[in-house]
Amino acid sequence: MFGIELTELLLFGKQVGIALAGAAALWGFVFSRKDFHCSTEKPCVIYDWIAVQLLPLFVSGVGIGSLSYFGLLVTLPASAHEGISYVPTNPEVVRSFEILTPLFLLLLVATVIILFAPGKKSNTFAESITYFYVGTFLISFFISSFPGWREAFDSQQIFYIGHGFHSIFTLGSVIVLDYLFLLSKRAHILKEHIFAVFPTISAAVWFGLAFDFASALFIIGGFAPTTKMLFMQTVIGILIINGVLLSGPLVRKMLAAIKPDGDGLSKTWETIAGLAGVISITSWTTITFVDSFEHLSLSYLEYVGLYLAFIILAYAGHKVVEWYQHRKQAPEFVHN
Amino acid sequence: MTEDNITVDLTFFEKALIISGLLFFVNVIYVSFGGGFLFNYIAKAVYLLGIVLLSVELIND
Repeated sequence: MFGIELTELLLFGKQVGIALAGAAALWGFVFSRKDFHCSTEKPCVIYDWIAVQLLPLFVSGVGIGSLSYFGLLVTLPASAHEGISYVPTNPEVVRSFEILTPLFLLLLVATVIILFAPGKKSNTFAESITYFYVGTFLISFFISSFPGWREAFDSQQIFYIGHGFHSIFTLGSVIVLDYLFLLSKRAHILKEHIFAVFPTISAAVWFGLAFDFASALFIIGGFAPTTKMLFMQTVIGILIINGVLLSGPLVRKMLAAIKPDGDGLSKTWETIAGLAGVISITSWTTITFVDSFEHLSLSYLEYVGLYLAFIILAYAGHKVVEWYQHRKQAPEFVHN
Repeated sequence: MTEDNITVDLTFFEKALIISGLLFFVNVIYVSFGGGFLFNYIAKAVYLLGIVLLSVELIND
């Protein structure tokens, strides 16, 4: 349907899942590391708590990525064929299985161990999760770096690597950012801790996109003026401008609002921040999705219409989660 | 509650990125009228310049 093939859908699922798992592990590690610097103070408990709260997001990513990968293992070897494209060909994807299967098994074993680990509220768990996150981030990084294997580190392989792992810093990180924004709704003290990390996450997103642009230098001259390409260029323009407003003026406003002498975010700013976050996630997901399917048969207007429809749907979902977070009980150590 | 007036003060790196984003739109129009990907390369170059400015900003902080 619309030129979508099962193999491409599974590759998309693998990419999104591992980007999410990798980003949750990366930022979980950053939050959990903070307690090493202030182990006896109250805020450290909050940073540990935030790090543990990223675990469901990590598990969702591992679940989506692993299911898609094992789906590929079952279906792809039978349908492998040569293709000419700047996305990995099926034989290249099949060759990457030798590298990826042990990594996926390692990722699953680590996830199962952490899920069944006893004493999730203890200090030992909070400390061990730091090592868990750094380990799983590295595994996710290698998995996303090898969407295909050309048996040599030529320019196209380097493009695959840059074009692969940037998703952890871009798509995955913007999902984590929005998730944290929603999580912060539970209490003012959570906003103080979470908003303080937003500039760092934003910088990681900007560097992630720079890696992708830099990796495209290895396939320079490989662009074709297709409708799909033009639509993707439009979305890149939108996500850059939206990203500047989100990571610049909006984050500065949020940081000013949570200062002791600040007077909170007004409804208008809350709405703008939520909308900017949704546009960011939708744009990154759209680019990853459209990039994953070589034979999409949509007109420019159809692409734009679907993109706008997804933004509206995602914003509705965002509002539902926001409502849920407002109702959710804040943890005992959090004072409002 | 804070006042709702929205002012947008941008740093140098943010201005560079806004220009880069706008150049992607220019590229779409240019390619649609039969041009090449010239503005795509310029947009990416401006973006990378913005990242250099961001790095300087981060180092100074």
